[in-house]
Formats: sequence, structure tokens, C-alpha cells
Amino acid sequence: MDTRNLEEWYRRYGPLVQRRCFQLLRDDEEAQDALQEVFMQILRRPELLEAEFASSLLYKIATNTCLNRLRGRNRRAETRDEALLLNIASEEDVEGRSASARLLDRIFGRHPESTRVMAVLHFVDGLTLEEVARETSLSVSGVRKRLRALKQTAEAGEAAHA
Amino acid sequence: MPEISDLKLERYALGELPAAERHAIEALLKTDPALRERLNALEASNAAILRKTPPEIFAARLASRQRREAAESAMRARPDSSSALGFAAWKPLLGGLALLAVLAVPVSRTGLLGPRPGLGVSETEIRGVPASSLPEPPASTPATRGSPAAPSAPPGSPEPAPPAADPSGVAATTPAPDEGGVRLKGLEPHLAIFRKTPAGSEPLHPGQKTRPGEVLRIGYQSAGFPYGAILSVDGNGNVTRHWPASGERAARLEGGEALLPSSFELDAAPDYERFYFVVSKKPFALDPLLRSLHEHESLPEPGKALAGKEIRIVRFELLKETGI
Repeated sequence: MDTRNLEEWYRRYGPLVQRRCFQLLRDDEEAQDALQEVFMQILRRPELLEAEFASSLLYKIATNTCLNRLRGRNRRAETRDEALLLNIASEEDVEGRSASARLLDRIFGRHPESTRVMAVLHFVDGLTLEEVARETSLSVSGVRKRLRALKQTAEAGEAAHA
Repeated sequence: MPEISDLKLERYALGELPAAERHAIEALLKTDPALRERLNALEASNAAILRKTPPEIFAARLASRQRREAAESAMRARPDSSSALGFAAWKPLLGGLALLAVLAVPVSRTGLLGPRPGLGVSETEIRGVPASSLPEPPASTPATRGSPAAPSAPPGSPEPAPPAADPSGVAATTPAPDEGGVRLKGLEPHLAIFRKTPAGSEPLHPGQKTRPGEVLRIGYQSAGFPYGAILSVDGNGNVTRHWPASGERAARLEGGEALLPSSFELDAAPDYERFYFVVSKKPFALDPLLRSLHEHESLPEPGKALAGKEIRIVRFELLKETGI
């Protein structure tokens, strides 16, 4: 990707990614850094932006990037939504620890989407199960099953820490 | 009326919604002032973000970040001319240097991997190693990448032991771990990776091209961090534990430089092999690192996300030529 392409992609999608990162991280400086991180991933795989709906892809990459950052945070949530987000971020995906599928391929639709991203889309962003299913190329029942499993592991984790 | 999600509105604004959904939103916009307001706010936000950071500024920052990361990686990982960990081909070259070092400066302050440029001199002395004591890699029987034949911690051991002392090895000549976890001022942890050649071996630099079947061996400078792990992820997303080979926690590191006890052979995974050396003053669990690599094929930016926790992350990426 040359500089001109990069500028065009940023002009088109940068604000979306920046907003998404700020929405999840609630910190302007960290959101800026996450925005750069997302585009660094794109620089390594520029063909991803050839996808029909690159906005959806970037939204999910940004979500995953932010979840990864939130996982390392050591602070108390100030709102219910933030608590939910931090809980999701701290969970491992229910598809298992040994899963080695590539993140970007998953997002690209060849493999199941990260359950954590699905959880954020549904529980935090308010997407319906049908919308999450469309975004992740899964069936509605598949999404429901994965979210239920994530919820169970979260509850088990909370019980263990209680 | 169903709530229109932010994602859907973003996609509408970008013209990336399928026709049916686009028409539905256009109809809603005529009757729903709140939705119209959200769309207006989104467009105003777009303009404000681009005004605050114009595309050319963003592109320049990203280029700068790329250069900075490449330079940092090279600074941490590039072995200097005395970086002779392990392989026989470097013996002739280093013999004279090592002899000079032993004769003229009985206690070298730099060690095998050498000082990092501009980082000053360690406050703790590290003994130099005569070239004749450099270990040979077990290149005739390399481990398959993904299962390096490294010794594991005994069952029940709280953390894996440092690399076993090679009979001719570096481990035996390096100082004991820094029990207090006191870092060596001015010295940074880094990795060194060597490739077997017909004549012996050669050090690799970050970004260097490699091929399937090539035999590599890893060395490290712990810079006084007592705990650490060496992991890698390849272009297929497969994660390999190089050190420790087993156990759930980071290994106890040698106090200075060490060479892992085994070599390994690169497989046919495409694109790259990305190595991470994670060190800490305190013991740490490997699971979060492994999960992050499985999920994202990367770890947090060096020195960023884990800042303040006395954890350092060193990255060393090799490119792969798979002939595809």
C-alpha cells in the first residue's frame, strides 16, 4: 500500500475506526494509538481492504484490538457497559485456547468470528442475534450457542473469584 | 421500530449497506429525527477527526511508527560482530577478538551479544567467553519447529529452570541469575538468532529472509531480568514455545546471555516467523501470552501495554520465502 492509498483509506475509514476505538477505550490518546495499530495490521495485509464491505471488517478489527488492550487494563469500571466490556475482554474465546486460526482470516469470514467480538456486538452495541450472525457469517443458532458458552465461562469465572 | 446500530449507520454513511437495508434507512431518516441527528453527528465527527489529524499527517505518523518499530527491533536484536553464540563458523573470526578480550580485559563488560549502541555500559560485569568455548549447535538432529527439543522443568517445579548448561556452552559461562531481579542498567534484553550454513553459521537480522528447512538456533540476553519466555508465531498462525518448552509459567533465565539447548528447523509456513522474548522481574503465567498469539498473532507493542509492570517484550521477525 503506497502513501496515497493509505491516505485514501484513512480518509474513508479512519474516522470510523477512531470512533470505535474511543467508544471502547474511553481514552483519546489510547484510541489514537489503537487506530494506528489497526492500520498497521492493514498495512501488513492490504488485500483485506479489497473486501466488499471493508467498513465491517475494520470495525471488527478495531473491536478486537481494543479488547486486547482492555484485557491488560487494571482498573475499575465506572459504568455498567464498561464493566460488561471489561468482563468480555478478560474472557477467553470459547472456541478454545488451542485455536490457531488466523484472526484476520476469521474476520474475513473463512473461519468463525471471535466470540468476544460477537459478545461486544450483541451485548454492548445492541446488535440483534440476526445482525451479529450476518456480520460473522454464522447461523443465528451458532451465535446464540457461542454467546451462551461465553456467558457460562464468565459466570463460572465470577463464581470462582467470589 | 428496531434500533439502528452504530455499525449499520456507519456502513450507511459509507455507502456500504446492501440496497434493501439502505432503502430502509433512507425511509427511516425521513420520519425519525433522532436517527437523522445521529447521522448528522457522525458526519460532523468525521470532519472533526480528519481536521484534527489530516490524512497526510496520519500517513506520516504511521510511517514513523513503522520505522521506529523496525529500528527498535533491530537495536534489540542485532548481534554485533562478536555475537558468536553457538556456531562454529564464527570461531575463526572471533578467536582473535576473544583472545584479546581475555588477555587484555579479563572481565568484559559486554558479553557475547554485545552492548546495544548508545545504551551505555552495564553496571554488572559479564564475563566474556573465549571463542573456543562456544557450543556447537546440534544441527544434525534439529527439533521440528513447534517442538524444540529442550529440557523441561521437573514435575511440580514452580517455574522452568534456565537452559541446561551445555557441556561446551554459553550457559555455563554466564553469571547466575540476578536473584534480586535487579536489572543491568543500560543493558536491554534482546534475542539473537543464528542460521546454520554449510560452513557453520551466521547471525540473522530482523526482516531477513529465510527458507523452509533452514536450521536456526536462538540465544538471548536477559539483561538481568530473572524470568522470561521465548515464543513465536508463523504465517499460518501456529504458535511455538521455544523456551520454556513446557510448564505454565515463564522460565528462570540465565543472568546474562544464554543459548537455547537445541536448534530447530523452519517449516513451510508462509510469510514470516515472528519471535517474542518476554522478560519480567517477577514470575508470570504464559497462558495470556499464548492466547494473545493464538488470537492476534502478535503481542502488545513493546513497552506499551505492559508498561509499569516491569515486563519487557522484544520482537524479532524473520521473513519466509516459501517459493509459492
